[in-house]
Amino acid sequence: MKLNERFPGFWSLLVDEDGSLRKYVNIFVNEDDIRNKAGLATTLKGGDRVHIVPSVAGGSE
Amino acid sequence: MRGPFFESSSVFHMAFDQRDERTIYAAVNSFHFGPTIFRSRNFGRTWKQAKKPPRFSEGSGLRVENVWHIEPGHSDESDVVFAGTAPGALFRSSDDGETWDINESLNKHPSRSKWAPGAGGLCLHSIVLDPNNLNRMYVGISAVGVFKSEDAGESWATKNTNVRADFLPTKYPEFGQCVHKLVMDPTNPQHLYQQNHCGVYRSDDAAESWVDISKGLPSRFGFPMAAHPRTSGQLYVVPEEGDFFRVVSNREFVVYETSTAGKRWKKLDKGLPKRNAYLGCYREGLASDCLEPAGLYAGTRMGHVFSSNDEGKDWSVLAQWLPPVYSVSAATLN
Repeated sequence: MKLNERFPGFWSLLVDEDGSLRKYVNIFVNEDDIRNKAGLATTLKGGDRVHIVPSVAGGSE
Repeated sequence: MRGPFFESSSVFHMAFDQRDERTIYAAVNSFHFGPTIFRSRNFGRTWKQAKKPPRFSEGSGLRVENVWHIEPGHSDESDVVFAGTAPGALFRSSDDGETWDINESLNKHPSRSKWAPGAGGLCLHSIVLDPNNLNRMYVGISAVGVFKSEDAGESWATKNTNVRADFLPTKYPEFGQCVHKLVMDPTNPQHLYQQNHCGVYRSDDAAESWVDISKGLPSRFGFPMAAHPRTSGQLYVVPEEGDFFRVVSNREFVVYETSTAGKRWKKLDKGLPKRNAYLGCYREGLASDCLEPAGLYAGTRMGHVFSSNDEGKDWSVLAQWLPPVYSVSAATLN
């Protein structure tokens, strides 16, 4: 949320109205997908690296 | 040509704000990061994203899927802008697009529980403001119909009398019609026109009733519609075969013009592809400028932009090999 203060509108790029992480956005803390941890409630400690990565997929046609 | 901007996102609509003759709004929908609105004040050199984009209230159970249309407000309200989204909702900004608030009155309309989406979803794609009446406005929602407000959006009424819904058990329901594009006669705000899934219509009484003006067109189906900037009763459409086969009628990408408010239609085809043209034009893909004579512009799903400097008598290719053209807007600068 501090990032959202610094960059207004940032949070809405990652999270839906219901507060859940967007379906095609992945967030990793170091090498761990937060969906396999505590989701958006995953806590960070000093030195952690956060990666925000859009999903990749093949074409639909 | 400048760009591309917003790579990997779909820009459903770009609107030029004629009020200040420099602001451009873009409805940008990212597959990954969702829908939002950007604003440029220097013709696209730089863009600024909305701090609070259009979103339903937390806990509403609804989620904005796409921003479909942006409409600058009245000339007397220079910082007001409107936006339409899917699922059908109207948003208003009073700070030049920085933050957006939902119109709860429309969102909670008594008919809403019966809205059923069409192929394009429940998109609110048309927002029309009466230039002579700050309180009167209209919106068009696919598969729902036209709504009108007489109190600046505090309340809304369905306005679909005499508009067909051939795909429903009731041919003339109160709502459920699939309006594709709604425009106003710029010189006579009592007159509106709509390109509908089931025909082209004109209203002479501020949407209280509609008259079928499809006769003379090769098809009742199509998406875009543009009004002449000054001549009352003159407008343009691009008919398509039908909902079962969404390519231009007779495989000719041409524009049909009426200068008689729909009593008669004329095909404008000089310089346009007239054979084996498996093309289509999206609902925001047809535009006019405000010059004299008026220029016309038509974009195709296959990445062409055609233009005419003489109100459609002659056309030529302005650009091609582009991605699908979702929106064409003309900026007239003094």
